[in-house]
Amino acid sequence: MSAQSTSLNPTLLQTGIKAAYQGSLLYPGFKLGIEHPYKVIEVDKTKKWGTKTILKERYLTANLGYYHHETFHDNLYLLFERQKRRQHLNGWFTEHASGIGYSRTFLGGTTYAVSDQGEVSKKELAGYNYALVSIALGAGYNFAMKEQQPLKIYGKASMLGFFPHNSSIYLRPTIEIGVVYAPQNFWKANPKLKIKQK
Amino acid sequence: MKKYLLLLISFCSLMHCQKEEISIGSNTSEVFYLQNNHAAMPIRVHGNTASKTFMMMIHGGPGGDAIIYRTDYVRQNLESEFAVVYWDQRNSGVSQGGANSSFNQVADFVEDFEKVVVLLKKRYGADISIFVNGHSWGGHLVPAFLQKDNNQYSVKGWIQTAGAHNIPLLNELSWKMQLDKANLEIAANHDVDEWTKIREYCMSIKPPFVAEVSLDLNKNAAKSEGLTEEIPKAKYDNKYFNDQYRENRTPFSLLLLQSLNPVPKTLANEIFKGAQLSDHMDLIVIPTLLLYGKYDYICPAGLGDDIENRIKSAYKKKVVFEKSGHGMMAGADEAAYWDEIKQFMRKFK
Repeated sequence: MSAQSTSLNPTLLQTGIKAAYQGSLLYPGFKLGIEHPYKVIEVDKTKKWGTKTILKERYLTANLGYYHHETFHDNLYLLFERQKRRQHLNGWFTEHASGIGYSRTFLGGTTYAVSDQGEVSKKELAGYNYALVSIALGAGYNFAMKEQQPLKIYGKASMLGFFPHNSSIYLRPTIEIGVVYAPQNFWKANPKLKIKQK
Repeated sequence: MKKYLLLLISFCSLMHCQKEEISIGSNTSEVFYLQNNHAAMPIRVHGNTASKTFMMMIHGGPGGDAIIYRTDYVRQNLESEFAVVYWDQRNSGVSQGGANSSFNQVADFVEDFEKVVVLLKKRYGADISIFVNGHSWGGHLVPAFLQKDNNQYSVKGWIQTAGAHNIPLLNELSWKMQLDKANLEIAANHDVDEWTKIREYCMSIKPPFVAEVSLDLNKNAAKSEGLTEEIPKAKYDNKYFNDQYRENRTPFSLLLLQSLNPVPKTLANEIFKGAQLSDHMDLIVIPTLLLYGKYDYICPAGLGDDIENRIKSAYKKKVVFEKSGHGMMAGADEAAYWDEIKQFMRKFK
């Protein structure tokens, strides 16, 4: 069965564009990206009162993130995630994601190098390149389920891990509040649809 | 391609994060970085840079952080008169970096230290007076720095605060001190169970100590200090220090992870194998102030006698604070401790 047969969630036929305020608790930042659905499992559970349907949606996402932590660093990163969303028919959803990526930091102050001869030089755009891993948990509301609007709002808590940071790993908790908009003429998606009866 | 590069450069200019600002004044507060051997170490300068007199706080650990020494007392009484430099060493505090575990020897820390001194003179003027105050592990790093080449002549004076310059001697003094104190406290019926454990442990070992025993002895020393009633309750609590970290925009998760980072621990294990700097202490001729706590089992006051007897400085003074353990700079002797430092700096700046 193809995804086009479902009438439950029109946003599943489109790639969504994400925009979020992403702060690492006290420090501001943003996240921009896309989420591309590639699989949907419709689960129909038979209850005493009828059938309860949930959608298990699977996405691949690509994100550009940034935060500013004064005097510590600015961090610009690319993050690719595999995202699993559990969509209820009333519009509410929960989700979790894991990802990998690349990060570039810019140190939060004038940075100097001193040669072995004692010459001091200023280093422009000093910082480090790190590999990035992430895990995230979130929840949100999908306006397409009831109002037929291709819009979702969500909140998400993530843990970003940058390595090798001081030969080890640097973990950074972040929170994110954002919207996903799936315009009709944007990148079409054709997720595989499976239906499970329970 | 040029367009994208320009975009990136504009973006980073907008971030405004790496603009050079050098303040000379009575109330300076700034942070800049030294990047060396895959580490970027923050250097915070607070206080009166117009005085042209700087005290570098060389923190303990290895793996500790410098800003913890910035108490209200230091702000009000030291920073008002001098500038204080809080340098987080590599893989410590909120320093950043990449894969740098191959730069984790005392010599690497000494190289960083040398470069921080050069950098301070470049930023604030070649005529500034620098004093170096090493606490605990920092009291190993400072003499290692001073004994190398002509480094001692780049600073005006050495302040040794409960420093660990000679690990075998430290162990022996600590072991004896813990044993003696345990016997006294048991006889006086104070915390008998706890002191008995300490006495039993001390009686189960004998010098010279191998590295593992040395580390255990160090942990027991902290317990002994906690049991010593002659040391009044700490003036500053955890909340106070958390506020300090918050004010300095410290990423708490990094601070926690640094304390778990195996890299500084590797260095500590190496030192605890028996590092000692006594043999070349006679090279030191600069003014020296030796400060210890009477009830410091971690770095006992006897270490100061060893330095005092060996250095060739025309001026050397040793002070033992009666109500202190390892942290006399923030305890009951806080005022007396910082007063000694201020007088020393005024005299030799």
